[in-house]
Amino acid sequence: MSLQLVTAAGIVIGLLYLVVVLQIFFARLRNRIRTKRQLGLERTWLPILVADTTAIPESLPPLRQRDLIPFLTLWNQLQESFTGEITGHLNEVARRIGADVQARRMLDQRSLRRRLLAVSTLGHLGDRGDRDSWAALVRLTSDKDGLLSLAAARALTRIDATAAMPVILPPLSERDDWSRNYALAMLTDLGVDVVSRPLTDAALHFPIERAPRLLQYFNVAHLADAMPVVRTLIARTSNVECLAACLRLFADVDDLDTVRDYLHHPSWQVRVQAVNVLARLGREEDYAFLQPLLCDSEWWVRYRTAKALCSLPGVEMSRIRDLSQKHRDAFARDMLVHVLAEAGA
Amino acid sequence: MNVVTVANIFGWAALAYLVGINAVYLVLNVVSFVVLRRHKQRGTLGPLSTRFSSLEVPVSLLIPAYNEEHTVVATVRSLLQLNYSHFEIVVINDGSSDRTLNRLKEAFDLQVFPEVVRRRLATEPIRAVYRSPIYPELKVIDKHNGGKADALNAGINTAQYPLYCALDADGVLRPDSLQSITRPFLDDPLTVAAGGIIRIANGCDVVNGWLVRTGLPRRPLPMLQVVEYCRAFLFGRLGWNPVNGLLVISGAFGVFHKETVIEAGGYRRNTIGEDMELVVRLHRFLGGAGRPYRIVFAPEPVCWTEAPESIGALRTQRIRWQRGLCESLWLNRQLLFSRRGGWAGWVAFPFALLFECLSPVVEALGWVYFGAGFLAGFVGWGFALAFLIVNIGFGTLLSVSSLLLDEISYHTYPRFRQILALLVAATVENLGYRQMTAYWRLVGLVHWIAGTKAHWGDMKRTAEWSSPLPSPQASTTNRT
Amino acid sequence: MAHTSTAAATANATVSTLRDVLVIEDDPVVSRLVEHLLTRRGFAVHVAADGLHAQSLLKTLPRPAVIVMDVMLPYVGGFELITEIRQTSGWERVPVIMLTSKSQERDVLRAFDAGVNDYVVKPFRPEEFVARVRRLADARD
Repeated sequence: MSLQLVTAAGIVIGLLYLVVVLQIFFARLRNRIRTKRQLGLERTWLPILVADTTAIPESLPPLRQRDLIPFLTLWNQLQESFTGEITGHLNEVARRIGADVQARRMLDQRSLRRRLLAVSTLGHLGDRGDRDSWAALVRLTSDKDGLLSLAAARALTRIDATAAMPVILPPLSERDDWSRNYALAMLTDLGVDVVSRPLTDAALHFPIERAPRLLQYFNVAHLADAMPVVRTLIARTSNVECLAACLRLFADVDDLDTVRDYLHHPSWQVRVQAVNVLARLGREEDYAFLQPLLCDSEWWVRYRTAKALCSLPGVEMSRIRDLSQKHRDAFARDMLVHVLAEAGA
Repeated sequence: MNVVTVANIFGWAALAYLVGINAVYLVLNVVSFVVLRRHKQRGTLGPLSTRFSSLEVPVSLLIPAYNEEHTVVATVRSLLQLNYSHFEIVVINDGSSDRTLNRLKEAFDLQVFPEVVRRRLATEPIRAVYRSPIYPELKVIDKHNGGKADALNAGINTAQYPLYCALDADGVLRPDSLQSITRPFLDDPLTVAAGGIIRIANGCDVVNGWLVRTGLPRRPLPMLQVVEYCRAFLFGRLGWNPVNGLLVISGAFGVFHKETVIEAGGYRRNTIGEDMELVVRLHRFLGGAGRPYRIVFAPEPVCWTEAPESIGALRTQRIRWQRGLCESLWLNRQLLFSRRGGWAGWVAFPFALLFECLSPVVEALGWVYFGAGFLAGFVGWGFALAFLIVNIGFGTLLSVSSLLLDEISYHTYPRFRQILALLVAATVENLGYRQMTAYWRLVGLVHWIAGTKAHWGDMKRTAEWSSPLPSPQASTTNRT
Repeated sequence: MAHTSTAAATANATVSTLRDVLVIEDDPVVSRLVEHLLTRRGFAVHVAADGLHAQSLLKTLPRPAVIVMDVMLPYVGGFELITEIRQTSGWERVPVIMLTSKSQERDVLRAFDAGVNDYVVKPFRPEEFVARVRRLADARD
């Protein structure tokens, strides 16, 4: 092996090593510069953005291209932290310096960060007249990135809540990658009045396998809209996931007859939800309905049944204690003892 | 063809191999970097709404404990303070011979509880289950000794939530660690397991079980491990995420979907590397059944763990790891090139076999060949120098590259002095440390082949490495 | 990390021309905003980013006019901190205003039971928030 070749290779590696080491220091330097620039940006813009009067000064500082991302990040953070008149003020400032135009342009760029900022900015600006942006945001709700599509949906709801509902409900019912926390916050911000009808109608008319995903948001719906849909769905479907999701929502004593039918459903996920409803709403007579389930084959059903029995109105702890000693089935006895200990009895 | 020719062929092969292994690690590092950058971009809009924390997935924290009397109480106390909506803590006392159970009883006022335990996985008998009247989320299982895998299985049997998190008794977390490591499960319902970044706790400020400030260890041995962890266990693993090829999730900090693990058979007893064996088996089981799944390395969450400070303890650890690796691969060898193995079976497994299992052999023989050959004269200057450059030079390049990635992605060590120390360590790492660990890994491989009974080693957990800040002890350790 | 932001010196615990506010908030965005809002109103703002630093500030800082805090804090929870504040000599009657994203009724009730004086939900109205802080600080004087 030629010595010169090897030495050359060695030198190359040595140089690369130096390059990498220098890069480490450059990275720290860049970071420091960026932080300083960020602080400078805040010093300039915070007094203008968070002004105590809504009057905007005549001349605003120019927005350099390299400050665009930091500015929009700050601007969006303010929009998320504040509410009230100040949001209108923030929008005015943004329009005055042309940030809205920039945001529209950023929608089509490749960087995920820029697109997220653009989407969020347009949502806060809330410009209903901007049909082009609206169309672009609608397209983004079907983007394969879960966060970007959900952020686009949220932006649409901020621009025009009523028009947005039919656009966001289909992906809401289909996509698994939409964070439930975020989606729930989005719907709650819209308010029950806006969400209730479209959501419950969608659950009723969409294909039944999509219903469970919508059902989990039903506490952002009026009971008067939600319960008829739930009752219809539960009668119509045999899908286990759907049945369980429906049962979770029952809150009316009048529905107990329906619920009791599911205590003996072949799937344990359904049985346990039926037991949970009785735990919440059951009457003293449900003692007889629940007791057989203490011998259920599934641990969870036995556990929830034991807990439900303890919480039924009119049922004394002594009766449960008695049962825990005298029940024929050993599994049932053990479970009752466990649950009684949890209850501190 | 004489011996020298054969030896020379081997020499070339060894050289090519070493170039290959470093190159592949470099690629993994670069891929990791891209993964992290995208992950950071996703954080542009700030944390997702925290108003509805009730939609977090409930988690059971499983902490197997064997003779951990010095650290277990502090760990449990800090875990009770985690920022998470629904979780339970299950400590499994695996037949400790010291005061582990008594310390727990005293600290948390444990009372015996008539728990109904679902015997879904076979374990050594459970003596008793305890609960705390003050902390309803705490459960302690006292059982006959059966090893870590057995303890975890017992924990799984008693866990009530859909996910469980396997934790070491002396692991140190951040308040948001649990949220970060469960996020992959929320983002993608196909996730069945997620691992977290493990960092070295030596030299850091730990207060009441929490990591308050990162620092670097003073002693050289743990310092070298800091660099090694960065290179091999951080950026070396994250790169497998995009292709679902992660084969190892550290037992110190990992979250799993309970039902899937039970279906796959739980942890295997009498295995040394039970954490890796489970993950490889999950790939084999789910891939073989044709079920879509994801096993990922979560880029956010961090768990700090104590690194061995003495050569003896490090040696034992590395021998054990190598045995665990070989065992995990051997026990799941059907995954290799299996029809539905995916990237795990066709790329990650062969990689682990070729580059992690066999590398100590190649390195050792390489040194023998080049050393003896150079002295004997049939290896020329050029060839010998090439070996040194590849082995030491390329290796050092890799080490500092991972430091660069760590700086850009995490900025873990803000002080200038720390970076200098790390750079020195990165250079030194390849001038003896890596060779030493390679030798131990060779020993581990030989032990495994010979079937020697392994022992966990007595790594004394005295927790002397944690330097507590002066803090109001009375109020923080006493909860009313 | 704890830091102080004000032009005037507040090291002298007994006499201060500015009124001190202790802000305990782990979200750096929110803490910077609150700092900005209060500093321009003449307050001297001290920030602690987590429960542990808040605890250490309890010992080193002069008694503030108002405390602004979140309930979700790392290391030491908000409610535990309130108990400690009320037990620190000289700080028993310092008004506490909670600034948090937890908006459910039971969260509010729990906070008032724990002894907070006011409760502001995020996202909040900046001027209204400042007015509430001033009201509590003025009542203290």
